[in-house]
Amino acid sequence: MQPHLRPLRTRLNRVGALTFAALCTAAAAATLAQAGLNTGFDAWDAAAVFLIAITTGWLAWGAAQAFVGLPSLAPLPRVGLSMQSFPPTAILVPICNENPVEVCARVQAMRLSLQKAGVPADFAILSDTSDPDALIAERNALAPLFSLEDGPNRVYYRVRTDRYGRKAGNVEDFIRKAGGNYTYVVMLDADSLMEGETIRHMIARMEDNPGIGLLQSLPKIVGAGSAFGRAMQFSASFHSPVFARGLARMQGQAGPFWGHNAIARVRAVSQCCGLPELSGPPPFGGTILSHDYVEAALLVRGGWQVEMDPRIEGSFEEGPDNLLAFARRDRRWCQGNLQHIRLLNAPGLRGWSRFVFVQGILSYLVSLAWGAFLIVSMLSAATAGAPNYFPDAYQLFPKFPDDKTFQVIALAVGVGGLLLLPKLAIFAESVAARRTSGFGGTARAFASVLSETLLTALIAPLMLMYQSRAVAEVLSGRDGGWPATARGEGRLSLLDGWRAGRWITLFGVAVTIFVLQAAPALIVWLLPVTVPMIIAPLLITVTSWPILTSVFRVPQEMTLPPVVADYRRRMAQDAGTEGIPDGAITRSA
Amino acid sequence: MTYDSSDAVAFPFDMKSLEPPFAPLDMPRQVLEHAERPSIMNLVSRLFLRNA
Repeated sequence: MQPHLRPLRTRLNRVGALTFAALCTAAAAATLAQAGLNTGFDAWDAAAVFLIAITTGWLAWGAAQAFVGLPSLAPLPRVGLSMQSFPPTAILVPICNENPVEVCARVQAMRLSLQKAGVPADFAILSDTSDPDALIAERNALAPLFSLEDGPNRVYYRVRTDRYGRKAGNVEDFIRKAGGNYTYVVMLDADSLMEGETIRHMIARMEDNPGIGLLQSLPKIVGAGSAFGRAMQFSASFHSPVFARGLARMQGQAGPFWGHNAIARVRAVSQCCGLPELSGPPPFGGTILSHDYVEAALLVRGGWQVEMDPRIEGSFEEGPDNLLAFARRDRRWCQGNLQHIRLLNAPGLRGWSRFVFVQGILSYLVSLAWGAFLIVSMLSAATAGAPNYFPDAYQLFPKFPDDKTFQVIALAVGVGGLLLLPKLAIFAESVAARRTSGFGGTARAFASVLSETLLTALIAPLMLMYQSRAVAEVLSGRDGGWPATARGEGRLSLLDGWRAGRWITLFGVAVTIFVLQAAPALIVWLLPVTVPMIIAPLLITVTSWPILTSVFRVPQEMTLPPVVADYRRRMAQDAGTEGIPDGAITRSA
Repeated sequence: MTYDSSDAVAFPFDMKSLEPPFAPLDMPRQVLEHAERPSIMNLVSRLFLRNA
């Protein structure tokens, strides 16, 4: 067993992180309560204390995860695999109205990489494509994959007309009908890329430990071009490995499944992962949207180990290139995570699996809590009466109300610290571990950290608005379905930005006018929130452009990994040779 | 980029031959929700109609 996965260490890490979060929560609540007591504790103060406790607790939990992940893990275990005993493995590529030229190029690049690594795994492209034109384009684009039938990496292709259970149902259909052919399945997304050596290592790890049901890698983002996309790409490469180490230490053998770039034991999946439809209509009933978390919980319930190993290299995916695409994906994730409210009481789940569901639910409810905190703060200031300097009938000197500036500043510093300290600590760790060279050197890596922090702070109010709207929609029973990501929407025009962000601008203007009228002293405090809201269309647009190129460098951008380079080369060759139906392209995850 | 369906060449493969070989596995539907509690009326009915 990996040293960091030993149950006692896992428990200690969990207790340490929870204690840290609880202490920060108590400190924030006590500080704000003290401020309220100075001026007479009222209902507004009670609400503010409750909300700051939720939001600070959540921030502290995230910070604790980073702190737990700061020490490096032991080197990746060396596990061998002989060609004679190579277990039958299928690489599953579920697609649904995807760009087939890209799918074909990815499979070709991975097939070559697998051949070089000596991995005789099959591919299975599992199509849920529904649009007739897209289906014709898909078949024609994928045709070159089928002509090499006798190679060690055969490519199968199956089109499903009954799209039961969406992506999870697509994989389930494969397991039900053809799972008996294979010992392992590597689950990918349409935009995933994995090196052959990575897949070889993951198969060997599964062979080495028959108790593992699923092994999840930490995919790095590649191919980002915009400021927003490259900031996310930088964060996923620079910060995420540390957060992921913390997560791995705390989750132990009840780890996460993120739906792709993972290997699973077919027997475990067939035993445990037949997902039912939840009773009642969407958004809380019907198909389970965020199926991966549920499948991980079910594997653990079935006695299988689920591990996430951030040390595994050579695993890649693409990310949204603008805020709109991000918000659209987040809307689906929001509904999927809130749907887990129905599963908190599911029979037989481990306590940690339930806690993981709670985390997913809280990650969206916290946006509402931040919004509510701001509103409560404004209303509290607006409804506060004028100070009474002479409360007693016979009083010679005026009595000034206690100032609560100290507590408010202390709270702001504390919250800011919880946001900034993990990033600074990760930067210090990267300098100590000499991994900044991959990010353009220490100075450039620091500039990237600062730029990413500034950009995140600027778009945070927009994300708060999008997430709050998503939560409100789900809680009001509105099903967001499986929204499409239109192709080629990376770079947005000002008109696109205005259409997407005008409601945020109007909200920001309304808040500013209200605060100027009702509580003008608050206006300066609210500027970091109101200014980004008012300029939301500009922010949405400009961050989708390929600017800030001198920062956000990542290792996989400076030296292209072989499988990514091969994919790019094939795409460059294919450019302009294939036609794709407009408006028929969506992402399956 | 647009796609003109007249560009499509005839797909040269039998779709059935491209599907993975049939090797079925049982995949039981998991229980994620507790069974609904029977109502009082239901319980009473069961009590009196158990031999029906």
